[in-house]
Amino acid sequence: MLENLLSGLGLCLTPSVLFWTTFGAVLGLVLGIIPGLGSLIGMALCLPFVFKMDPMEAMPFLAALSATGFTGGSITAVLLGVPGEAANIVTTFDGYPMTQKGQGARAIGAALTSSLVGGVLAVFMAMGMMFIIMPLVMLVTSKEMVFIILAGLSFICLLGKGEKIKSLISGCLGILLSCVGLVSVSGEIRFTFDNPFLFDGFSIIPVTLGLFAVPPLIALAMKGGSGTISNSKAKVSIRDTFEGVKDVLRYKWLCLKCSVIGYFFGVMPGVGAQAAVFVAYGHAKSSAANPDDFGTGDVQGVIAPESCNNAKESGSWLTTLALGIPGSATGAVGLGALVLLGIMPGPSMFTDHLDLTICVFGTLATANVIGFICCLPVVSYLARISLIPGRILVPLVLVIIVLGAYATRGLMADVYILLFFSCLGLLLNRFNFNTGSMLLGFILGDLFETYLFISLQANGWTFFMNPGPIVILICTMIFLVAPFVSKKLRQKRTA
Amino acid sequence: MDKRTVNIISYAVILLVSGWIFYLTSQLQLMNSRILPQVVNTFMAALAVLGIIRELCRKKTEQTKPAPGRSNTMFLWLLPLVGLAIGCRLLGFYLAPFLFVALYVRLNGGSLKETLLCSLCAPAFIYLLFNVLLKLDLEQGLLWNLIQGA
Repeated sequence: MLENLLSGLGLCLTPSVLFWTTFGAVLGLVLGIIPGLGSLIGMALCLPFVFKMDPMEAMPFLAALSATGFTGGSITAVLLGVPGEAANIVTTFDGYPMTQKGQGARAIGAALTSSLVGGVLAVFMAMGMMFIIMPLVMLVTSKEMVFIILAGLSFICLLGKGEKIKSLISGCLGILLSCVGLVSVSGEIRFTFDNPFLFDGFSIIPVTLGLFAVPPLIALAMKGGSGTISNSKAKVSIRDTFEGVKDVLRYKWLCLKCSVIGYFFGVMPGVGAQAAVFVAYGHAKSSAANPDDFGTGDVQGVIAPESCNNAKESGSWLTTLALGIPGSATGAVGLGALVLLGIMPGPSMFTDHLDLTICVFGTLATANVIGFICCLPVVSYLARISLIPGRILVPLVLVIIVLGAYATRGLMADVYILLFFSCLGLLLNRFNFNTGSMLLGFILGDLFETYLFISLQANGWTFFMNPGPIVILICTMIFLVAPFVSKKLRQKRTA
Repeated sequence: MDKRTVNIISYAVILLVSGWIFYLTSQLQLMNSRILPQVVNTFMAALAVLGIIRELCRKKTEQTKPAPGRSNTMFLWLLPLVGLAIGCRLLGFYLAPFLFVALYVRLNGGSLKETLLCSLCAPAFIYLLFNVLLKLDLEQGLLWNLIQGA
């Protein structure tokens, strides 16, 4: 076992593997930066080329590509308020306000460092706990999934700033929007007005871009031709970036906890990184000393989602390799690549192909380090994007957004969906509703319905009267209530 | 308008939307398709009613000033985006971004050098990324299709 571990880790450092890891990591970063593309599309496009490669080169390449996509996405999320990947949405909540305050370099420094910590830490967790976690994952059935998703949905009320009623209404609207399209449990077409483009429902990319990327650009456009994102004209230096690195060390426990959240969400097939980052953000907000600072540029709001989304990848790869069940869409492409290369994922990955498995995990860690090293020296230059006049930035970014929406499925319908959600995003912002809660409802609504009906059909109305759901319910309650209780106790002690 | 009136109006709009969703849901044939939207919609309507009651019980507040970038004129700024979308449909993904960027930069006080540089960058970037690197076919536009057809 130890011999396999060492040989697998040694393979990661061979020149050919290191070359493909670096190439994958840089490609992932570049694709992650461009909204609407991301590492998933990159992996899918590279699939036809990898099947002729050696598995020891192909799998590290794909793993590296998937590992750095979120790191790249965090750069545009912080600097422009445009999430590069769907899982970077939450980073815009505090990252973009930090840029507006002239702290863009600090925010990126924090995002890159927390991405690195989350990505590397989760690899160790995956390797150390693979034989404990896998039997537990096998125990998770649809009834447990209902309560895991419910736990994610319960964070709707934590995301809002100000009125909770508006947050909850936004969450409900999100769930209702996720109901559009073919109902998986009944086969009926719902709320599509006979429009064939809506049969698959709304695609996540145009929804995300419309709700989160367009409103800040319009706000920038309204500042006039020479208006800039950053309200501060102070010169950005490398020292600001290291301030972000120090922030991660200051909030090391938050980074650690959110990495664990990301890892567990990654291990659970079908929940996805988008839900995980909301849970991490909700946890960071509820456990913070000043939760009201969230949404106005608190660095903890950057650290939590960024450590979580990178950690999620290792968990996802673990489920993909060990069980042959993809933990995410990138996992599904990775699974396809394995099959193309003639390797059957499953328990044999821990016996016959243990060195490849260890090599993939080693690559995930190496890719995160490469991503960090590539980005850190250029952060102070990247942060200067926030000083480019709006008359240049707005049209160029709008073109990228429209292209990003179109490239999702190659349909103009997605551009119209982008327009609809841009208008909705502006309306929700104008009347102080919460777009974050709405997106969380949108992401989890469809999943919740599917698992609920499977549970009902398999176990009847009493499906929740089982140890699994009850344990998850109690854990969720503790997770939600504990920060408030500890804060009250702290206040009592100081009084 | 004061904050209370704005909130009451927004909750009333939510109630209207809720009523419309109730109607749409009632048109669905299968019970399984109706359950989730109906439950969520009822909850949303109840929250909207609760919001209205809470606002009615609250004293009148000061006049609201929308946060920067949240005034009503922001909806007008959607027009360039609509224009770009229509342009892409008609002229394709190379010509429309070129014209859009050129017009936007020039109308917002950009110099000729800035205008030319930015407007040429957009189609060049699109061509390199989508055509050369990713080998994806982009919309050529109705106009191009018409010319080809002729």
